[in-house]
Amino acid sequence: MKRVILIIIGLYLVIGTILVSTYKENSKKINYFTLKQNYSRLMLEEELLVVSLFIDRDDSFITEKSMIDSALLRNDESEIAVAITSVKLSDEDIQYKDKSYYLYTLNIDFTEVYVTNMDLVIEECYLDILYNNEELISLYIGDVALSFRDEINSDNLDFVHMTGIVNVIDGKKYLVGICLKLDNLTLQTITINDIYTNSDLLKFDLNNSFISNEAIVDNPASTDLFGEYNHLGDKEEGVIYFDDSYYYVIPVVYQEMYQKIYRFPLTIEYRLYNQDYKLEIDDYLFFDEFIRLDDYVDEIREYQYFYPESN
Amino acid sequence: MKKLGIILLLCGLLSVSIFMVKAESYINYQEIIFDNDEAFLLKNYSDDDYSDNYKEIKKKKFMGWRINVVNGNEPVEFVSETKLKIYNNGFSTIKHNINLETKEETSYQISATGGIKLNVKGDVKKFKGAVDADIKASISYSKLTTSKESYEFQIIVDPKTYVKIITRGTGEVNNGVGKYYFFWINTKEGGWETFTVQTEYYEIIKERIR
Repeated sequence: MKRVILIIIGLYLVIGTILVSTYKENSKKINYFTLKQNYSRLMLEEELLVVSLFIDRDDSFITEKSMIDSALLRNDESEIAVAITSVKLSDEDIQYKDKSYYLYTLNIDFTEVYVTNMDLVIEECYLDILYNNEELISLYIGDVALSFRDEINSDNLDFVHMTGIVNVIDGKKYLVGICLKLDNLTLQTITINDIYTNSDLLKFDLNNSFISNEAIVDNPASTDLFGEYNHLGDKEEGVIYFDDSYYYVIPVVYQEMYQKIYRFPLTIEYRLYNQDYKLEIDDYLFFDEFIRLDDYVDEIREYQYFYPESN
Repeated sequence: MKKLGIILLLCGLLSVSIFMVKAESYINYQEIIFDNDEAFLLKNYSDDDYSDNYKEIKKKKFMGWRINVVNGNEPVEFVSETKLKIYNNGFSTIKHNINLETKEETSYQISATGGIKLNVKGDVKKFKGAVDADIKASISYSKLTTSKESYEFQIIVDPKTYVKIITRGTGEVNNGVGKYYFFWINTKEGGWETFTVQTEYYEIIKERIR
């Protein structure tokens, strides 16, 4: 009987030691990650850029706004100083590789370096955050394309309908077209010379537009609209002699590979009275997805922070 | 002159009416269409459906819930509510910053009937008691996430026009019934349903006020 009690006490001590050492090990380490995004935005009136950070602790300096000293967006070629105006806990209990994470959103402000009519493209962009404790973390956030504007106008031309056409390609959803109906606010003929966004990841092929009497809203297959169309490669120049009673579905062309891009601004270049004009449309959310992070391992950059050993 | 300015400003403000709709339950969506013709929503269960599906739960329990999944992971397409409407009844163009966000309460919604109750804490809705975990286990529930980014869009609204944004999407519906046992005696029973949004598509429309 005495031996049994001693064995039980021994087991308690061994298990207890393992648990305590594991807990200490975990408390010394922070796991965090970012999900690659394509940020394509028209920045108006002190607009913020929102970056998501997944982290396995809610009590670390990494998500403590008062600990942030400075921040910048950068790649190898360019950088811009930014201010992180807030760090908000947006969600919790998000599962990734069988671990639970908190989701924080970092609001990034550009007012200190705001330049009117500046186009800023930072491919393969990192967000560097320097903390008061002299720690620096670098978060890979994806491709960033920002167009800073004071205002947008629609004097001669405006849109009256806009939606995206999304298809499933290799099991994932991608935008394959945009459906636009435009309104000619003049009595003259307007010709659309080009439609583009500020990101180089995608282009719009005016030559192969599908014209419809009705809005296309139910995500038909690309082949039903554009025939055997290749959404990868280069697009040729084209024009639309548009009639504002029709809906135009314009195919999206990706430069190298299909990209997840949900939201972006549009610039429509048009010709009126032998002069060229632009209609700029604020970044519009064509679609949004709710995903399982485990399906997007390739798009995730994982990091670990180890607290320094105390003496 | 100052007074005139204030009056004009007030007139301008009154001529713009914004109609924003709160996040609405999927039960009130304009349209929900199942890919599978034989699947249907909990609200369409007949008395016979309830009684037949309760009968499917044959094994009793000492204490706790037994769940029967009637429609499991059924894909749906939906047209949800109008997210926003802005009317410009005035005589000058207005600019609006529209701020929308797809919230957690929209992405995962639930409903229940009979002895299964809901527990609502802030924005978080759960089935009341242990049945929540039992249902989640029976449908292999796993939480989905999105970037949680609020969506700001500046739009110009011409005089005598209105702008509206509606969302469509795809999702998944699970529903069924459950029976609660206490000392192997069935003491309560009810229906349950989960609605998970997987994709949302935004459609923006500007039209003349007739």
